[in-house]
Amino acid sequence: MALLELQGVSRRFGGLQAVADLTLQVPEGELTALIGPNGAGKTTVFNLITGVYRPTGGRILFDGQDLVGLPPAAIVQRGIARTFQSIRLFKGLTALENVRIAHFARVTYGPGAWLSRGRPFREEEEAILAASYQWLERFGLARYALEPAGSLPYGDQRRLEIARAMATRPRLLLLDEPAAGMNPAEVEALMELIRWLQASFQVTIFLIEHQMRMVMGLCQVVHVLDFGRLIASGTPDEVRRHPRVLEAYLGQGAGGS
Amino acid sequence: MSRAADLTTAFFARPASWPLVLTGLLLAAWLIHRYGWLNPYQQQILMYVGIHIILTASLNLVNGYMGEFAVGHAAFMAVGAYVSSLITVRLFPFQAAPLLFPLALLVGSLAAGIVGLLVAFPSFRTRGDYLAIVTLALNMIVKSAIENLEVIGGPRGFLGMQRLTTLPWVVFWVISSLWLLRNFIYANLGRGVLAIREDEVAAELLGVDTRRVKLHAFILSASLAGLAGGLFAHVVQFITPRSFDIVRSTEILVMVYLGGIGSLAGSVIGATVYTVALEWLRFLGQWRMAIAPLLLVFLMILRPTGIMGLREFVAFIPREERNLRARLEALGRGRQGWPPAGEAGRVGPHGPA
Repeated sequence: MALLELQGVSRRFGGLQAVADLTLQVPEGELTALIGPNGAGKTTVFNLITGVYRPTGGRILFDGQDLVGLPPAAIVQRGIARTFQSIRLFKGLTALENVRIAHFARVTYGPGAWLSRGRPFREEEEAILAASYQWLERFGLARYALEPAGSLPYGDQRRLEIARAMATRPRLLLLDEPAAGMNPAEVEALMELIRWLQASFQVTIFLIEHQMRMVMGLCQVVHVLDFGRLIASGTPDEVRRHPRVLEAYLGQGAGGS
Repeated sequence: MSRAADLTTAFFARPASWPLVLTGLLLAAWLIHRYGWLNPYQQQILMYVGIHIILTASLNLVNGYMGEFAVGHAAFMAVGAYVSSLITVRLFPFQAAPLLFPLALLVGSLAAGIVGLLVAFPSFRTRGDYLAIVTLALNMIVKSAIENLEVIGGPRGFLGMQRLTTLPWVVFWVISSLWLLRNFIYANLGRGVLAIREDEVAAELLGVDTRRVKLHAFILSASLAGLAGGLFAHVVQFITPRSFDIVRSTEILVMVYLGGIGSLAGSVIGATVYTVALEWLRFLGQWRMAIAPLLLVFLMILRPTGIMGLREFVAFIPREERNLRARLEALGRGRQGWPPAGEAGRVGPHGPA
């Protein structure tokens, strides 16, 4: 059963067809990858799913319901969280605060409660604090809890971004090039983390990646995008040998040999 | 950490400290007012300081904490001033006016909040500089609207208010406003406000309903400016459209950026320093008016975050948020990765206190 289903999704920016008639499925509980050369439209796909852009055509079904037209915050509440290719932490706020903000939509107390700061307010805030701290602990970031997020080492910033996304309790986690700028050891640790996430939280993961190594080691299904079009889908091994994929990555003529 | 700072922290860590300080402040204000410990001129300066604190803190919510740029706060002040004055002069019986004064202030504040809502609704739909343009326009619209309303005096202004604003009242409303802002900031909506400042797109993609947050923050800010307007009108007892022009708005901006963005303590400092300094510089005559814009330019270049710049006095942070380190320690006891690498210092949720 597909948790996420894109049906003929298109997006045009003026004269540029960024995504063209894209149809693909992300099965529940699995790790699916979206790869493609620079400028293929991968991040645009994520922006369409999360409501940052509105598709010019097609439907995006999450758990059977159409997401098109919903504001990003509403889509997050349905259970989709994401990270960004260029880290977008709240750099001036502490690591803890970054994770606490992710609980925004789950807060139930009203104006009366925050005005008086009485017992219902404090109990709910205490629960948010405990949950946030637990996410930091799970990701090995507890010692940075009260440090500004921008002062964390690069790899830890990437992990904090994933922790923050997980704090919204998503069913589907979109990771946009999580290994960008990491050294081989860090990539190894990240792969470990992603496997652990999937196993421990039953979260479906859809990831954009540039590093073949990571995709090959992690994902069951890989989709390849080039100039906004899906050119191949299959297991990592199938995709790696696909002539159109080789052509897209290495240039015309490479696929024929 | 200095010894004085440690003592302050220790003092405000006790639950009974705040009520004690606030009662003391109110009592002092009442004694000064009742027994004339300060002359009327000095009392008036203190009242201006208080009114400016409310204005500064309210604009700081939008410009400092939320990182937007509203420039026409005098418009909301004008709405609060005129509405509350009309009520106390035309609606209330003369003898009952002092008793009903808080009601008039609240209605004025509500009216300003409604105007804030009307402005916020369209202007937050788009991003960036739009808010600055809309608030600037609003300032001009409100000013010319009043100039053209003969029923409320038009360009000649409106008078007849009793001097209902007294030092104890000002202290009371300053405390209430700061308390309201503090509780707003250190709660869920306040976290949303900070998230919008840091990265609006990321906030939205973490489930923060940015439109709701902005509306709340803007309406709260406008209402408090309206409250300050009402207090102002009943100190000076004579208001004209010129009292609420763009120069007044600029002054509020200067106080925000002087004291420090994203800081209640900064708002108090900025408003106090600016108001007192301007009184000292009275001998400069008309040239005094050139100070605000010049100061704004220099501040933006030399120290864009102001004196306090995103920092806060411990006293302005709610107790639960102040001892985060201890609370986390309690949560993390017996787990790995604790204690943290750094030494245990005083840290607020938004960074070092």
